[in-house]
Amino acid sequence: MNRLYDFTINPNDLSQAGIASSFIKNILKKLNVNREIIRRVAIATYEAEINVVIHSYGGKCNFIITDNSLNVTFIDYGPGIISIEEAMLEGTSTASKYAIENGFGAGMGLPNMQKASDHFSITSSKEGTVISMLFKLGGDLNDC
Amino acid sequence: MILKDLVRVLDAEVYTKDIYEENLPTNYAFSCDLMSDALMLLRNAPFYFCDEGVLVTGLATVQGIRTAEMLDLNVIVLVRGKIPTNSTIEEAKRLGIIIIGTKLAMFSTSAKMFLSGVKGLSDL
Repeated sequence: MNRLYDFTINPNDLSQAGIASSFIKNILKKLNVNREIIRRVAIATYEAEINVVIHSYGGKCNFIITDNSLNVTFIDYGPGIISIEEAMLEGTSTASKYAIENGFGAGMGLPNMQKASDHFSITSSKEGTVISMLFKLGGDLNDC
Repeated sequence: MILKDLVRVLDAEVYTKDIYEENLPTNYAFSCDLMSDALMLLRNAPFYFCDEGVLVTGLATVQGIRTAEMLDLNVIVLVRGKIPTNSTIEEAKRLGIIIIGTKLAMFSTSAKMFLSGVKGLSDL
């Protein structure tokens, strides 16, 4: 049976950033998922969550756990990414002073998400950005 | 190296006394102010590195704590005399992450740790 978890992400509030990532990390731990996979999920989802907080007008994310995979979707409500190609380059960032003062904005987020996930896709327009990531969890999961 | 030796070497203050474990191994460290760098470069680090690892940073906000949480790092060393807020300390305690602080700058902190036998990612 699939499990579905939804979270709302508020803009410009880094104090709350990481709550969704922390939640899914703990769920995977309870399911006895391999530690290497949990680390990749935690890193990728945390980067995505931070991005919604520091770059967007707000958004949401959902996690769907199936028997052997985790599907993650982050959706925000704009203003969108002008050039995805440039945003995917390591070190390219349009982060605000607020983001940098709080330890983010190195321009590593999107490349890190792509490297950490088994499948990564991104689309963006003025209306918003959608990031989808798939993680293969391997084997049947223990119930929690 | 264990935590009590690290505290002595850095003349550090312990901000999370409730969860302080003086015998905790602290054999590895990663120093940065940008959490994105830690998240990128420690993604493929051996698990023993993070299990016995320390995040050395000047970032005293809750985001440093959450980054340590994502990477399974148990100790944060705050440099340059940065003092965490009560809410940051409470979040660290909730997650079992020990925060210590030193007045030393990041370079001197890292150098003293290295000379005491702590290894970085590039030294593995």
